Amino acid sequence: MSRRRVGGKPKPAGKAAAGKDHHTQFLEALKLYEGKQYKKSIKLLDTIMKKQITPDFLALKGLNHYFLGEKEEASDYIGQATSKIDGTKASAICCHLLGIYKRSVKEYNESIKWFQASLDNGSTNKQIYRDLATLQSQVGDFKTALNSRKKYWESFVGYRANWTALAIAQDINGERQQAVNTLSQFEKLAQGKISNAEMYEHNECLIYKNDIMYKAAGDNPDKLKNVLHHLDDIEPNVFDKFGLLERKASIYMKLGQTKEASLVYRTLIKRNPDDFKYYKLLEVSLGITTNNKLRKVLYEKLASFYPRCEAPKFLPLTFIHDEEELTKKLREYVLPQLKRGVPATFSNVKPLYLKRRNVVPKLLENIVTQYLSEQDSREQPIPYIWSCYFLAQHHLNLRDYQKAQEYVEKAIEHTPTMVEFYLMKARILKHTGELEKAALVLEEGRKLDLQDRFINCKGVKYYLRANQVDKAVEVASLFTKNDDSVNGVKDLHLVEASWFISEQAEAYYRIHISAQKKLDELRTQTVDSDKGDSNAEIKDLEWSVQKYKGLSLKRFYAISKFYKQFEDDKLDFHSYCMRKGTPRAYLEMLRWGERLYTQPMYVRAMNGASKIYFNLYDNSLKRKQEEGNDETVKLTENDKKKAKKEAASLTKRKNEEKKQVLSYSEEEDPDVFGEELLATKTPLQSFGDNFYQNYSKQAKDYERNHVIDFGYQYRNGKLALCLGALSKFEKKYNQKSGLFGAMAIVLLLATKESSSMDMIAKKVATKGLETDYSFLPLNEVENESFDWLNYFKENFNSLDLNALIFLKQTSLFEDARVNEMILSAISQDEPLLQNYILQYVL
Amino acid sequence: MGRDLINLDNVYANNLGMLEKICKTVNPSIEYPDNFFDELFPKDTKKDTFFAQLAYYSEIPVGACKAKLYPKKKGDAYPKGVHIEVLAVLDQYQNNQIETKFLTYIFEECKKHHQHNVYIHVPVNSNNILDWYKDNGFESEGEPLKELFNTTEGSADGIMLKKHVD
Repeated sequence: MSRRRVGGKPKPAGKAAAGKDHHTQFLEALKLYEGKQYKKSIKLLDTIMKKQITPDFLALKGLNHYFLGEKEEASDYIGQATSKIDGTKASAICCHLLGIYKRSVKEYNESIKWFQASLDNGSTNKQIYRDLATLQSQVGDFKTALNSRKKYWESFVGYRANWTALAIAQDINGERQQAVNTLSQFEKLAQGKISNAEMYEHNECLIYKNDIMYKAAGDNPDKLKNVLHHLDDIEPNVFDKFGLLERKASIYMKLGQTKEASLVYRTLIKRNPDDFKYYKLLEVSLGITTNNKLRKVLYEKLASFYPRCEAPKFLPLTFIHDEEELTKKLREYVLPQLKRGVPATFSNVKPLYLKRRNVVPKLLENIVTQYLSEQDSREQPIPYIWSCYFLAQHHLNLRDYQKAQEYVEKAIEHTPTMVEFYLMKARILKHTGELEKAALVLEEGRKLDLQDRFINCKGVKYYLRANQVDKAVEVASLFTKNDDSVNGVKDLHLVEASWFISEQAEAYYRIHISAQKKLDELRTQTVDSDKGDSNAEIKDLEWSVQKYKGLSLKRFYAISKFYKQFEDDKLDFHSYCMRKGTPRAYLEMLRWGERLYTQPMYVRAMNGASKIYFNLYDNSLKRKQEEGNDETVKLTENDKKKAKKEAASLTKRKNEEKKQVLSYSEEEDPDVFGEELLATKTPLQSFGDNFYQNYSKQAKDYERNHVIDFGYQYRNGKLALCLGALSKFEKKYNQKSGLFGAMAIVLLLATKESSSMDMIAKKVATKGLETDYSFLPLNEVENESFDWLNYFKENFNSLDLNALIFLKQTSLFEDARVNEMILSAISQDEPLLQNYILQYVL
Repeated sequence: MGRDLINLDNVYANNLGMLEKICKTVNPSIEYPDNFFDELFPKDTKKDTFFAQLAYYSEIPVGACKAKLYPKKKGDAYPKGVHIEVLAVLDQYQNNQIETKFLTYIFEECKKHHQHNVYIHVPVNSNNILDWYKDNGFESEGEPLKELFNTTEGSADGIMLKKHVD
């Protein structure tokens, strides 16, 4: 790391732009910089620059400042340097310095440009190729990266890392044969010279070569056989025996040699009989996936081979049809676990509750209820309590909250010292919408065992769900490092505890909504009555509204930053993995990087933030409209004084509250309450930059949130893209789905003549709707009296809650009617959701 | 397994809540003094000596005991020796084994601290408890003490039992 920080060593190439005396002095300053004596280097530069100022000097000075931590000066000098340069016509050293600077500030494309320029302008420093390759890999430009790798490899063939790097680059670019050749060539060179310490690297490279050969072979039998031979050859030197066997089995499968494949899968099962995957594959290789009779026999045999294993006992439960037999098998599976007191018994069978909901739950209910009735609570306390626990979970899963509560109470009454029972009780309460009570129950359980991190986290989460942020932070802080802060919020940001931050963001959002509601109410009241009394209260609420909205956005944004950090951290691995010789792990990491911004947590934060950003945008539109008719109120001298006083007290208050919510040190980030984030003039663009663009680039069609796409593009006025989102959504779901109807109607209304959208966009959208969805009432667009809500009700799934919320948020329709529709949509849902909708959506 | 189904272990600051829970569940009507539990882990320098244990049934905490060492006589009700303040086992797990283990533990602690007398106060009307302690070698000592116990249902008289340990 540190070596890279110092940067490559820009070597003098030809005569620099500066005069000769200056040039030697400049080289001296360069040496000081390389020796990390930045201050001395700057001093020297200052003396030269009294006489002459060149981009070289400025660039070096900027870089020195950067490494002294003076980011602003650095950017200033670098800016001066680049403004003096015409295109990239500068000395090789200067270009190199700029490249190093740009890489440090994470402007990778710029950095590539300058490194390349340095080479073009005559630098003979071959190290630049390595830096270039790293950067090009970082931005995903693997084509040029291959070239850089090759150049670097030509200059330094004595290192295995360079051969591996070259092979990887070739592999990524589809030059599979060349990649194999590169690796083979090195193997030959290194034959007999590999020390023990290098054996791991060697083994990884060997199996990596096999990976490439396997990919290249496709379905070609001859080639596959070749791969198999190679696998046999390298077997003694490969450490990853699982990978080796898995590869072998899949080659056999491809070759149609299922008998051989099944033998390999049996070997794999023997090595790890707990991996469900191997059992499934064994079934496939034996060709019995549809023959339940044979499957049963197979698993009975396997169960006798591996009596202590889960898989062969569990898997038959997923396919046995005969109820009597299934009951028997379920008993054999579940009862011994309850007898031993396995807390996870229910979790073990939970997949069956999903897949076989009509069969398994009712059987298990009978089995366990009967078993429980046979247990004496005194003689067999263990089976007794865990059966109660099981039944509580069972009824919770079936949404029979009352019964679930009864059973968990029974368990707690019997053994009030079991933390799990409190967790379960709280969970049931949560589903009934009793969030405060749930948090209290968890707190009761938490106090039993203060060192239990799990229940501590759960306690925090439940407090946040109940909007008790302060209490949550207090509990969370018991397990954090709180060196110089009053609580653990800062530490939780440092350790990137996104579970906490997202929950907190959502809690802040809910509190914000509640405050907003209260404020609106109060304002309508005070319009009628006289102002004086409630003024302070209004001011108070205004601050709450702003504060919680800002904090919510701030927290969501923090999560986005974590993921950005992941991406930046990738940079080191483009060279590190080569040196360590871990090509397989490297490629896996690259694949992971391509899916980074589609991870559930990121998407969750994006969705949360979208609500705030969209709201900011919609409000800004409203304000623009109102500005027209609103006269600006002139402030009297008295009012001004009052305003000043209020501002002062607000500042005081902010300073007091600051400590509680600080997420980064203040020098690092002065925007404690997220006020700057909220103050964005272009909310849509901010949303794009901070969340949406990264997601949009990586999300695949099958997983995309088309509603977010639509909402974003609709506000951007890109109706054609809305149409795209709509048709993708329609392909995934269907034309009757509520959200399709809702989006289609909104898009249709956007093409109205009176709508403020761009004419061309409107035409494109109309055209598209006409071609693809001619069944929509396209002719009614300009008909002011057409009842769109009614049309929606009659033609689409009007119980689709998300669709209704979507309609509500557009504020195109009569609010009261939409609300009514929402209420009827949630009438059958669980109390938790109902409460949420009532409190925070309507 | 090689391990007993029932084991005793120390009380720690982190699982003090267990002790409290068990005591309050077993004797819901008793009003414990404010610092009754916290005094096991005093913030200032420790003065008193306590013997506190939790009993585990198959790793589930089911019983608790707390005893205090009185190095000197403190009033008539508290002669020199070890006083059992609480000995509680969850109803469903009461089977004598755990209770006996607690007593054995306390007797051993007595020996370690060179004490020869173990005391306990029992409500006069709790015949079961009285009998149980008498079966375990305790004998009543002195006159019943008026209004010894504060409970939610008012106060109750208590009698002191004593056992001599060699």
